[in-house]
Amino acid sequence: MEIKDKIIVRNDFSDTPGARYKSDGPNSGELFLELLLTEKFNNAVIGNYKLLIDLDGVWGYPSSFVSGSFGKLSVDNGAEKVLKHIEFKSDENSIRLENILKEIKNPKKKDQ
Amino acid sequence: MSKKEKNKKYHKIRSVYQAKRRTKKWKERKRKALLQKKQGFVAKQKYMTKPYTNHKAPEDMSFIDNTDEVLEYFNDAKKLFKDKEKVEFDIKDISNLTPDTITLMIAKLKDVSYTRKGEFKGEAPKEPKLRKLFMESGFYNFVATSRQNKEKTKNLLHKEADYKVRPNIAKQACLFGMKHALGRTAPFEPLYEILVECMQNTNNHASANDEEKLKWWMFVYNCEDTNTSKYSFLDLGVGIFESIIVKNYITKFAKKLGAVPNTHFVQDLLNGNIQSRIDKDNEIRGKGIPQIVAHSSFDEFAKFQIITNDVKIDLKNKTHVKLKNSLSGTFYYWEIKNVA
Repeated sequence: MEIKDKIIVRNDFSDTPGARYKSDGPNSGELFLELLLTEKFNNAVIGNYKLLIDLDGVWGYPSSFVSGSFGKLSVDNGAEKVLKHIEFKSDENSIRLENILKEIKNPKKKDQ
Repeated sequence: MSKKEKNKKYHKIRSVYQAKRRTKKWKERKRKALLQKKQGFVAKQKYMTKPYTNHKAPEDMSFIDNTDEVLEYFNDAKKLFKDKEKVEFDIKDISNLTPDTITLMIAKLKDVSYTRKGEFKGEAPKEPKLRKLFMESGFYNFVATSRQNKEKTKNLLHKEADYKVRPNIAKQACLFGMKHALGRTAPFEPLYEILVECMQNTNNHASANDEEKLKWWMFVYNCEDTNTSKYSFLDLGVGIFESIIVKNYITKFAKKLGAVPNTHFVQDLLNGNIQSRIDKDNEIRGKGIPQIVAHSSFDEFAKFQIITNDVKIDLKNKTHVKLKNSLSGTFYYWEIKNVA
């Protein structure tokens, strides 16, 4: 499947991902989901292409942010569909990528 | 309504009010109010002239190492405030003081539910090294003091009153410690993620009745002697084991097993097994503490402890102890050092 769209987290959102909900503070997972992720993901599903998400250049991905964005997207749409239409890029840190993929595949599991 | 009718209505309302003022009940109420006002004034005058109660600190004022004694000291001071005493925090002669204690002290003194708006005073320790630590901590930026005390602040002491999570403050705290201890400015993700999760947890552990947002305190102290950065993070909420989520979990067990100490639930807490059944998105929550636990194993973290209610957890040694005294809130402490 061809990649036709992308999100560079540090440029398009922030280099300091924050809390779970918007009410918790700036740069939340919920804000990321509403502002960018849901729309771009839905467009990728409709257009049958892949969305590339570049994870590099940020200070970290707190678990609350990850579950409030990628975890929520997975709960709402199913892991298979999410992974079919989203590809991640993380040259700096493979553990971060593994954690996000783990969250998508099993958003309800709490094992690290 | 004509002017005459308006006038008539006004006089009617006025006469009803005047009649009320002549009743026995009204006069009695006014008399009592005046008496109370006088008594309040007298009590205030009495309080103003009252001497301070000297509250001598234990010699070892290290919260992280001498936890029970330091907690007892602050819990006793709370009782003094409750008894309407003016408190002198006497730390002049202490022989040990660590940055974590300064965090606890300032957070307590700025908490109205702790001081009950009572007066307090104190002086910096006499011992030169401890005095330097105290003066440079930024403590004096948060209390009323003479101008000269406010001058030297070399560390990062932050009080948050608005948001739970402040990503920019987390980044600033990372940079502040990393430059000193790790000698770099490139992101060290575990440190940033731990800071955000500590902030995020301040809200998670509030009691159900606590509508107001919790304040948290963070202190980053760069120690020149050991080349480490010491992080203290404190929220004065109800503490993890007194939070509604954990309390419900414990109650469920208590029904089967009888009273069980909080220490019994430490492993479940660290593994993220304790979760709410009523919170929004409860199924995907509860990964914050497991993330902190996982990150604490990095070699860069020289020490990592959590103190909450009557439990002290050492994440590096994977041990925990029951405390004699209790902290109402949650305290995280860690040190970072260069391992390269």
